[in-house]
Amino acid sequence: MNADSIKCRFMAIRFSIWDLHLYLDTHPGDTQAMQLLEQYETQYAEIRRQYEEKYGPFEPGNGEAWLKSPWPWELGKGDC
Amino acid sequence: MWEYQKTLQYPIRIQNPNPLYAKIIQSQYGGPDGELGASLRYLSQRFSMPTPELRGLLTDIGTEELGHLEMVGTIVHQLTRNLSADEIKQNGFESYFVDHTNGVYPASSAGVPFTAAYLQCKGDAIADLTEDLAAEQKARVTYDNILRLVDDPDVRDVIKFLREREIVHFQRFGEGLRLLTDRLNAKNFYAFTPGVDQPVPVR
Repeated sequence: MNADSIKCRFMAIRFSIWDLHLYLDTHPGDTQAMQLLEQYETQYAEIRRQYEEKYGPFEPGNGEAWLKSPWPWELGKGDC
Repeated sequence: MWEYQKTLQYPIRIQNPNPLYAKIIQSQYGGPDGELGASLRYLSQRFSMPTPELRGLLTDIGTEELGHLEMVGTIVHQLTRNLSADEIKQNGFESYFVDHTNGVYPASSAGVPFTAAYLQCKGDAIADLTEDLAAEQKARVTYDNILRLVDDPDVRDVIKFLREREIVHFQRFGEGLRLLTDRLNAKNFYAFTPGVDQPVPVR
């Protein structure tokens, strides 16, 4: 596990956004959590661009690149 | 609707195949307290939830459980790849192999196929959320049992992540139940069906 890798940072920020999202379902008025969410979303835009450059498209619509980039269950080279 | 995102919620890279571990962990794919039942339970129950918070919560946790289903399927897939005939015969994996080869089929560890009887959808928010709390605890216990049976650190790391998520979901469902009861008549929680007998005011 290399916490500095693009893949790890991408997955960590995605996860932080998701977990805050669940928290906000039951704490919709929490402005501190909302601010944290905005911070993570700003970081996410950049790390996602770097991730897709290295690992291929993350969402469908890219034709061959979508099909040929590794599927999540495949045992990748794994830097994360 | 849903759109697929080509990633797992947490990375999985299992170096050593192990058919016994696959057979144990299989239960969290299609067993009584597994991720398929969890996702169908929450995504079905959300239609009759009386408040926006609860509709959001069940939609989001149900969606996350679909991601966990993919993760458990990935564990089983990686544990059963490139097995030799001898490895298949060991550990009782041949009884699975004969019907499913290396496919990932939703069944319990004992081979019982998935059934919707594992979940309920009562249309009563208190009944459904109370079931959801129990479901998260049962899934957490199953992951703890897996941790008692499995030594491989590659597998344990992922199982520990999934176990933690059950605890977070239990917390969120508890908050959801409290948000609901805060809006009901405290003298009368269990005597009527929220959403049918006396609709909760929609914000």
